[in-house]
Amino acid sequence: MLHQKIAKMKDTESINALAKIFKKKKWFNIDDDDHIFDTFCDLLNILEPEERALIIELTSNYYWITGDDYLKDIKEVIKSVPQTTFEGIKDILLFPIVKPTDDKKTKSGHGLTYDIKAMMPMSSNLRHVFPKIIEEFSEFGSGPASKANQLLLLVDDFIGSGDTLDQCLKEIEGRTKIYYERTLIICISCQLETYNLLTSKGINIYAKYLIERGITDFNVGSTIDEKKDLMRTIEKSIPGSNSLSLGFMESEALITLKRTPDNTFPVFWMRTRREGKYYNPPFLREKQS
Amino acid sequence: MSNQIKVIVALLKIVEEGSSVRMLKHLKLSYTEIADLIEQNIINGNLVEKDAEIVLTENGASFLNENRHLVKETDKSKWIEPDYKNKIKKIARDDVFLPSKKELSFLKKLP
Repeated sequence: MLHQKIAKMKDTESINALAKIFKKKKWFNIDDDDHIFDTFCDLLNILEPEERALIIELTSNYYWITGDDYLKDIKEVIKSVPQTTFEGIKDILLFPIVKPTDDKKTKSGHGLTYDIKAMMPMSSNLRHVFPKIIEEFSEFGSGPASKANQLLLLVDDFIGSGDTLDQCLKEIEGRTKIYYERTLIICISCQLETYNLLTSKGINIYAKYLIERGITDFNVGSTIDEKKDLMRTIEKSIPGSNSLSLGFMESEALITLKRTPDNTFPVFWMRTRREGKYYNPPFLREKQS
Repeated sequence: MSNQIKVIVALLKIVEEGSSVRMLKHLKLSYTEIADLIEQNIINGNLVEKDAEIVLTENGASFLNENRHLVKETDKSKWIEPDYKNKIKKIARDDVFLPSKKELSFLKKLP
């Protein structure tokens, strides 16, 4: 649905609209003590009428994928890979998409590589294939990343700008040769722009959700800039959001997974400060150590 | 029951004024209860939704007017009245005001 102009919303209207979104997306099932809904309403309460309307518009296109969905979602993604891809394949090598600087740290991709490994013996098309998890970059050494009868699966829950993936691929390429025809990128969600870019480069990528840009892809003409400006006004009262305006690299993402990626608009996961008081975002991230 | 009417009146008043739901929070309603209350009042015809806008219906407006006294008036101009009987005429800057001796109560001898 394309949104045309900047609307205004009173307090009651935004609560009503938010409750409808929560019902439609079945978010009350996840938010069983209404904590997220309450936090959301407290935030809407302090915003200006135009700002409320923008947040409601963005929320109607928002994805909230919980840890409970991961196994089912990643299974679906694996199933969407054409069967011919697995013909003649003996081993599947699983590696989480991580930055070289995060090597040996536990990231969301690790859990998913384990999930895939565990589901393979019970899957009709993969039970004859041997899964092997690669734990760290140093295991890519002598010989190609994937031999003729091997498939390399690079796994993560979310691919945003593709920056992490890019660094990960470069690090592997620095150690060995990647055969892209035998390499698959497997993720639960990916930004549409990045997906299109990778596909155009001939990289095999599979995702369940393709995430559009919250403002740019849902509006037309001058409204895009007006709404971006309005969001920047909101961000003025979000301490620390400066470098992440409209999300990391202006990704305009609208997604929360186990964690909320920094590609998502900061208003959804960083504290807003108005008149000396802090208001929690609906999808607050745990503190970074 | 009277509390139920009170929260409905409060909601209708908030919609009429376009004000914040703070009054309903003060009446100990949670946000989900407020959302349900709005929905109920759309169903029962006190409120109507035009796209995302919510306004009072004629029914809602008359129900509000009949029961307005149930909720506290928060608009100060409506519950602080000007004290007209003690208002005096404004005098010019250079005028000298000499009250009559009779009017100056502190000069009167105590009984």
